Amino acid sequence: MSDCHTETPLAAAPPYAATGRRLVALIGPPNSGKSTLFNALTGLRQQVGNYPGVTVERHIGRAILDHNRTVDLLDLPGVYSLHPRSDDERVTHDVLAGQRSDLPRPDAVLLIVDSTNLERNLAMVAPILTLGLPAMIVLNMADELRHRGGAVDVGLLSRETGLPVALVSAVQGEGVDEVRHFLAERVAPPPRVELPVLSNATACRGWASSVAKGAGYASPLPPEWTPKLDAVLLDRIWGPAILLGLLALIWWTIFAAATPMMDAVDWAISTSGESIRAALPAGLLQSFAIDGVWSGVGSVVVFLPQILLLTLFMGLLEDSGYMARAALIADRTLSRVGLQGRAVIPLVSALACAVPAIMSTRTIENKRDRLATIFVAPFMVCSARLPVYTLLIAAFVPGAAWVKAATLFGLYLLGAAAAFVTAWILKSSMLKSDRSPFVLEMPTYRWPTWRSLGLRLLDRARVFLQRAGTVILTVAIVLWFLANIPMKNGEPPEIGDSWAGSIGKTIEPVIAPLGFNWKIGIGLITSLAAREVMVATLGTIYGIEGADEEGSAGNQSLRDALRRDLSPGGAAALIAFFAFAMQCMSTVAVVRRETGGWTWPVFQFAYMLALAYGASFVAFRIFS
Amino acid sequence: MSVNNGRTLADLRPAEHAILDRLELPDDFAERLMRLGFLPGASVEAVRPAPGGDPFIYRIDGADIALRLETAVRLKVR
Repeated sequence: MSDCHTETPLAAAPPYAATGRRLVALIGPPNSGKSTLFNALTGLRQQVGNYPGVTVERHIGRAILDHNRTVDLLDLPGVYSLHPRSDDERVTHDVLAGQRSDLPRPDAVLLIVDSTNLERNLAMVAPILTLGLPAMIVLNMADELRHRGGAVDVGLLSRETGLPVALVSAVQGEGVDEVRHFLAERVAPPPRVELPVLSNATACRGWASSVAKGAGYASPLPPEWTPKLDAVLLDRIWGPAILLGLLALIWWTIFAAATPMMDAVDWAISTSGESIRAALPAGLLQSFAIDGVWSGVGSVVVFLPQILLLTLFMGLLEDSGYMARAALIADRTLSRVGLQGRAVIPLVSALACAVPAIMSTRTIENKRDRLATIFVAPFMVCSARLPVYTLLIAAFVPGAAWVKAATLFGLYLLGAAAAFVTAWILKSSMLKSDRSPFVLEMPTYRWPTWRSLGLRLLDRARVFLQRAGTVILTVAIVLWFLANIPMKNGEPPEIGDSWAGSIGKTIEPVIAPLGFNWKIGIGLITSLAAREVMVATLGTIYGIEGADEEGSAGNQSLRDALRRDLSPGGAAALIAFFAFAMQCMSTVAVVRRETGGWTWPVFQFAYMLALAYGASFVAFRIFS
Repeated sequence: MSVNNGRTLADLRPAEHAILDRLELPDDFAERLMRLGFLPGASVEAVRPAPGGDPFIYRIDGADIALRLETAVRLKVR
């Protein structure tokens, strides 16, 4: 049964089962604070991303218990039916039933429930109990329960369910030791108490009511601030205005507030580059280290502050509960192009990176809606486009900071427009379907925690720097060699006579109608790997050209070089190309995996390339 | 709003309460809503609409859940 949707793990990566470690799964309804507890238990040792060989993107983290014992925690998507419908549900079901080839059946389960709404949450996790795995019930949000005047008797609840119970506030670290204690024990066998047959929702809910009653559960007062905030944030006029205002403020901050930080990083890179240059003997080695590696990687690392700011804002929107309101506000608009409000989460996440965005489409149950969302997500301006946009805007858009910020905002709108129009085309042709139901829970507003935001930032920084250290470094090195051969009399050639130059000149006839010369052509080829490589490539090309120039690692000199080499029309065309082309191998790979074949990624790549070429052609004509 | 006889969730005004009677929806979707608390006999409160008027937020079993009006008209109340 599991074979129809799991992939065979790669031979190079042994399946998780081979590690022989103890595995405990975390399960809980959305907004039960599952990730917060996961972070509290694993701290910075969490391994975000996929475990090698595990084809499902689920977080696995290692919790260190007392006496240096450890246990691996698996963060499963929060769904609870034994009749799985969405892909997410299927994954959870198959993992818990031990039907996956790449993961062993978990040794135990932590059922995380929101204690401020115990009955409903218990009903939602009830089907899991029938699987007979050792389990602990974690009543999260204990602080909020108390604060709002609710109460529950942990001992009685334990007796009612036959399971260990912990009252926890994952945010404040309260009660987390009890959970650790449970994880450390050789866990008790499945519940001794007779569970009713929980075959349907009504039965589950009835069971939950009687259990909660038996445990002396007193419901807390309704949240105080959520309705007050919603009255404003979902107001007929203020609601959409605040949403648009927030988005505009975020982009402006990214553009303006990041500048001093970026200048500082830029200064650090070019200064250190110069001291390395001074320390090395002049010649090929020096050129390789500075013009190849240092300026190549450095010109991309400069954008770390911008990417971290964007990640911070996305984290704030998600952790506070506002993202669900954004989905609600957007549903009407999105339904006009055939998508649903839930698509707002992938689409907004795609502003950081299309890869996690495409993975987050798994929560969309309708297959056709999901495909359409996957298809259009890469049009949203991802953080890898920012370095290119920022560079080109700084070099070519005249005027004050707000003009440049407005231009950048316009590019975000352009990306969104391309996504919407494409979605509409798809949903009225090949992906036509009945309107799919829209159901979305509005979580209680909560203060985001520094810890959660910090972990997001660390994770993003790690991924970004990893790419800078691998993909971008590789491309920079290969490019440096291509730019330095064939040697003439022991001297590197003019860039135009090098292999890189020849490649650029070969494709020049194709891109000349867009206003690009062969140097840009080299960048277009290398940036197929990842968009931000473009900046590194230009850094290398112009670094080589102006080797006598001081501080060629700095982006100021790169801007000057670009202005000399690219007409305003060409610059507009280049921006248009980056707005539409699918220059990201990671995205192609994730689409292939999520759609289960090459058809969709190939179609998507071709469509976006054709659109990019057409748009660049038009932009060049208009702005020349 | 509803052309059928009988009141539906979509007829409720903000802050109005009602008892859910039955879900006239395909089994799959009905079961999903029931898992979220939309069980016959449950008390529902219409909270507020999205700024555009649709979807609409309903409070059921202590949770705020947004449904499109096209779904709400299929949920009969008494």
